[in-house]
Amino acid sequence: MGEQVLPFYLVCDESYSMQGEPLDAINQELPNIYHEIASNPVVADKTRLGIIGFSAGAEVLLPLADLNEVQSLVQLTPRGATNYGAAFSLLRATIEQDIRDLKQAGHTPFRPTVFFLTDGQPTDDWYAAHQKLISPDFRARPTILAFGFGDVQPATLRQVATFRAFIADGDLSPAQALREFARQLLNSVVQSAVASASSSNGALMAFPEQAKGYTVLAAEPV
Amino acid sequence: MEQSHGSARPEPTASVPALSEPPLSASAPPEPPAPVPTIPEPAVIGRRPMLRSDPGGLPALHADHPGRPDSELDGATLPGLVVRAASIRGDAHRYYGTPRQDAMGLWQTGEAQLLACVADGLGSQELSYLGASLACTSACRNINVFHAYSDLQTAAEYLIEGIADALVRQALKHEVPADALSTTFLAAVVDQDTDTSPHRARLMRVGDSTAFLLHKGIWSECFGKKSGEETIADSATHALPGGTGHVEVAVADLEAGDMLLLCTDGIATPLARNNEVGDRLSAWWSQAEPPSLPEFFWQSSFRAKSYDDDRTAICVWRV
Repeated sequence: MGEQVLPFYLVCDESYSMQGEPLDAINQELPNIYHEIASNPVVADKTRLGIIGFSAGAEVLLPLADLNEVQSLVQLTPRGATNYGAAFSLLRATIEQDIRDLKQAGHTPFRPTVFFLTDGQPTDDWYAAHQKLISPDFRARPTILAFGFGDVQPATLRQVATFRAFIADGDLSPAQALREFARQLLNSVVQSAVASASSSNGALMAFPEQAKGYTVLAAEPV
Repeated sequence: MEQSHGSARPEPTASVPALSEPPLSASAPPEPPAPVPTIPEPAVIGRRPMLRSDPGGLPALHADHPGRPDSELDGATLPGLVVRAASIRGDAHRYYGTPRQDAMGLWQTGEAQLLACVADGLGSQELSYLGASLACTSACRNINVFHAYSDLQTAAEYLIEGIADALVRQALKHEVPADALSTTFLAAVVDQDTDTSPHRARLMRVGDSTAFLLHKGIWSECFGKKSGEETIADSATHALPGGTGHVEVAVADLEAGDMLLLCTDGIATPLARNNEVGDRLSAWWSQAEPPSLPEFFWQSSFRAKSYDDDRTAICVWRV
């Protein structure tokens, strides 16, 4: 088949504190994200989206998909604690398998991009799982952009991110924070697909530099 | 000559009495209308793309530039060589109404030589299509510089320096930074009919536009991959006018039946990454006869999902 594929993963906190306004907001944004990606043919032809939700454990809610081949919409639901380690372990295993599957099908996958969203501090010891995910030994290690609002600490976000982190300003409502996150994810997917059209090597990623209502934080190694 | 297209002929009027002799010509059955040829859609290789292959908005161009058609087509029959060349706007540029940034040129130069050039303007620079066009025409204007040197690397460097100078002057004229006209550049000087076989092609380039030899149905790269100093990723990003320190040269000898392909990455990338594309192009371009111009344009317009860049291909068959 031999297609060029830009993989994107949305990794979203489903802890109890996300219940109500935050998850409602993202669930409202998801159909728009699907539609924008699927209906822009330049984007649809070369990007795929996967969704992982995490709380006490982690779950693949949408396996990496060409959004024109997806029948039903994912809905995020509030569940339990905030286990970053489970998210990172699942993400690593998922990315490894997805990239292997794409290559096996004869495609050319590019380095995945992860948009990570959380509203609170982790309730576990997650460093080891995170290290495995971003280690140079992991050939398909993703570029991670971390977004946070609510109770999460800037320092935590900076450690999670590999490229850049964003912390919501105090006066941003959770719904606004979520909508802006969704907008940044969509923009990155679309702009990356467009820029990649005429770039050497076939991929030129576009990552957010600023997000409305968020303060930008540089990524920092753990 | 008009085709009837199967449309109804007008009914004869009923005013003439049925008893009169019919005209002699009416006794012969009318010629059936010639079948209207169906032109096929461009070939789809792999999954059908969502992106349509259709010219979109006309691009907004720089005031000084005469125009930027969606595609260019060219060809030649020369002693011992048949050439087909096409430069086609990518489906992404068509979708967004932005100009084709690839350019190409074919010239007869010197005693019995073909000069073929392709150039790929940098995607991120709005005016790079000016740079790509100018790089090709400038190569033709300055080709004598190339012929003045017997060492290929030296000759190529002098020619390419001249091209870079032309780009810088043009940028000054338009009051933009030199980078705004950034482009790759690839050229081949091919010997026409000589008494001895094979025909030699001398190749030079800056950037990732590249050349392949099609020999007995198998593709091989003309520019060897550098080992050591430069990684593959580095050599992909060089461009003129800044990249004059990165001139690469190569030689390809064309036996009877061989074909030299010069192309921008809009062709080179799917050729390298999609086996079906490589096989299909090889099959089309390994026939006993090179394709006609319309056929070549149709072939070069193949659609492959996720490959939406401008594409330019110059094919030189040694016949």
